Amino acid sequence: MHRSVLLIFAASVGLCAGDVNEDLLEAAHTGDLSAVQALIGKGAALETKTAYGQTPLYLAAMNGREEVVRFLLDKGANPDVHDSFYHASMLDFVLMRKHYGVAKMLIRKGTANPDRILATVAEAGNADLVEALLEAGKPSQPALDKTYEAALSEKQTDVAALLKKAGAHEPAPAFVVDAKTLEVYAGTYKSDQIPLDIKASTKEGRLYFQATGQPEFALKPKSATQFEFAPAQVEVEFDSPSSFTLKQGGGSYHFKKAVTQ
Amino acid sequence: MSRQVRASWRSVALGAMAVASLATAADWPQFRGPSASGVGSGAKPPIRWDATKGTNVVWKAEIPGLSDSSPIVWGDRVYVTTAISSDPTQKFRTGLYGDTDSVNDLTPHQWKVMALDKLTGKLLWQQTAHDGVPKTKRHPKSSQASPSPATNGSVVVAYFGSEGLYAYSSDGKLLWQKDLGIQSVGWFFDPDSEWGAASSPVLYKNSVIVLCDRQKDSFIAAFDLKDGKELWRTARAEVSTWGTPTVVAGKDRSEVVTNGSKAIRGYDADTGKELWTLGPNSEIACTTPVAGQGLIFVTAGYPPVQPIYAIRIGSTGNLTLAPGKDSSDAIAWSKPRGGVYLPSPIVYGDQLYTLGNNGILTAYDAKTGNRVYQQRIEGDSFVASPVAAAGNLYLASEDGDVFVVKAGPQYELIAKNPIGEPILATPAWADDLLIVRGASHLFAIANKEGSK
Repeated sequence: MHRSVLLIFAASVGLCAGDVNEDLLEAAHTGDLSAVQALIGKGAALETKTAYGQTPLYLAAMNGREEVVRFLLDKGANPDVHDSFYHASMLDFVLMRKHYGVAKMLIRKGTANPDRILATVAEAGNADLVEALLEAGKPSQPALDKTYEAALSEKQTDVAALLKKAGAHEPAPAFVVDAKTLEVYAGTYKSDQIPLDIKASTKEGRLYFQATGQPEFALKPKSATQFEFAPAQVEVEFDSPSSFTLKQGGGSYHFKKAVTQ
Repeated sequence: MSRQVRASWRSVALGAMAVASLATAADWPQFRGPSASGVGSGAKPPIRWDATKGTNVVWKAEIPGLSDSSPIVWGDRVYVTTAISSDPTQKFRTGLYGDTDSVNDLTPHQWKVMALDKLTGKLLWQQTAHDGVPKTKRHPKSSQASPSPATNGSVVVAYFGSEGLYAYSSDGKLLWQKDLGIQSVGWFFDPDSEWGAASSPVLYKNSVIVLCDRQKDSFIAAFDLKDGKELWRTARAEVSTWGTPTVVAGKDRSEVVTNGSKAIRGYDADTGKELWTLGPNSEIACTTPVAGQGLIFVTAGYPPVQPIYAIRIGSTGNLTLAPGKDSSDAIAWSKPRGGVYLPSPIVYGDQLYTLGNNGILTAYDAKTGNRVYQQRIEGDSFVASPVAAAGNLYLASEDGDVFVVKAGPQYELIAKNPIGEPILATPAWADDLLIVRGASHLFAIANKEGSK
């Protein structure tokens, strides 16, 4: 009898805890600061998670709820959580949605390796955020250099200046491939691995790629046969004038020329 | 009378003559026609046309507002729904993109049901089902009137998500209406990213079945066509989904097959009792199940789980495959990859065809699942589902072209036909008449000039 009563009591405590945790997630998502404060006071778990691994801070951050984010960070909430579906950090969504005030708070409190987030933060083109990141922790020299080069390429002068001041090295002069060599690569390529055509063309001494339905982009030569497009982390290597291997996101795809231009 | 108006009269007259000579039209009572098959009955449907020049266009009717619901046809009438915003700048954002944000147009809207004459495109009646500010947001590719209407010839049912379910007589008299609550349908990852309801009502016997998968408290329910009385309701442990349920007639029972993020499920169409369940599936499920060759095909295409299942009609219980297996007594074949995101698949002849948003058309042997071919269509982006007739597939692109592809084991593009405005709605058949909904107009297209 005693035992069954205890079990019922334990179950009801568990149920209540579940309710306050769910309420906390909801309040954080909607930015209801007073509800968040009250629920934390009632014992709701700071790091409780949705089915997709989002914490209250994650939900508040991705929806730009600055007051709630500030409160949860002050309470010690972890700013370096990754969700379990996209495996993305809250900062990824915050930057995507341009909640720069929240981003600054997360960067200042974050403990994640600055190398991992420097490129993402710099890509947003917001000098304040880059400054906050550089104040929070020094990235490695290669990360600084690579991000600096990208900032120069994207003409993000404020960001580039901050990175330079932080010690970024000037990029090596671009490898120059003569126009005649580039013209040999022009044509439409197909792959047996993915149903995607890539059109290669040359303009003003540069090699351009355009995949079906996507915008054209210029490749940067690393040698006469190796090229890259850093913003999309695309690497291309020609093994002959009529075939190349494209690497992106861990995948490797071989393309053969189908049409010569 | 101006020269332009005279020219319009002449084209309407020619169109009417052409249609009058067609064989008796089959009806297209719901999204993708009978049983959502997408297959028209016409023997001589149009192959080539150019709506920008009026070639083979029988009539063209302006439809105000914004809607990607499909037209439906019964007898001599075409029915469409629309939502008219007070903001005239509202439009679809077409193309391939992955943004999750919603369009939050909080201006007053009018939700309308319209009936047009099938032969002329003349407006026969229109009713405003609801006036007000939308209760939920929409996806940039979606609208406040995305579910297609359904009819049995005497009752026309229109579902507008949070704005309710409405039944009209075929001459436009409101029979009944139901408030099904707020349909907050959106991104599973963030309830603020509302994309809007899209699942269309389907009719079964004397009932209308509505699938309401939303952020919380999802359900499927049937209502009496006569008075809207709820006949059954079954709760679903589901997040938001967008596919229309399909009623599949079996030997001993009719089952309502639903796509779903947590599971694909079959229900008894008479009682709502869950008959079977199958997973895993994509976290975002948008396509409509289709039946053919004794199988029900269900697919979804949101990564990382992008399956295609071929389910035997009449199965019962938990159909989830054992680890490492791709078939069972209940599952004729399956694939863990290859599922598509928005356009629903079509079974035509011996093949199952899937069309990716990016225009990749894949043909499978419907019985075995063996891939027959894969080909990229020229258009950049596809949302509308394929339809078929007289041995050809019709693929409508957001760019405003309808590609006609010969059905069969070999890919062969026959024609590319411009409409002149974006197409997001699945076209409808009325025998040999193809009805295409563009962003602003309804086009009735026929083989007026005997083109081949």
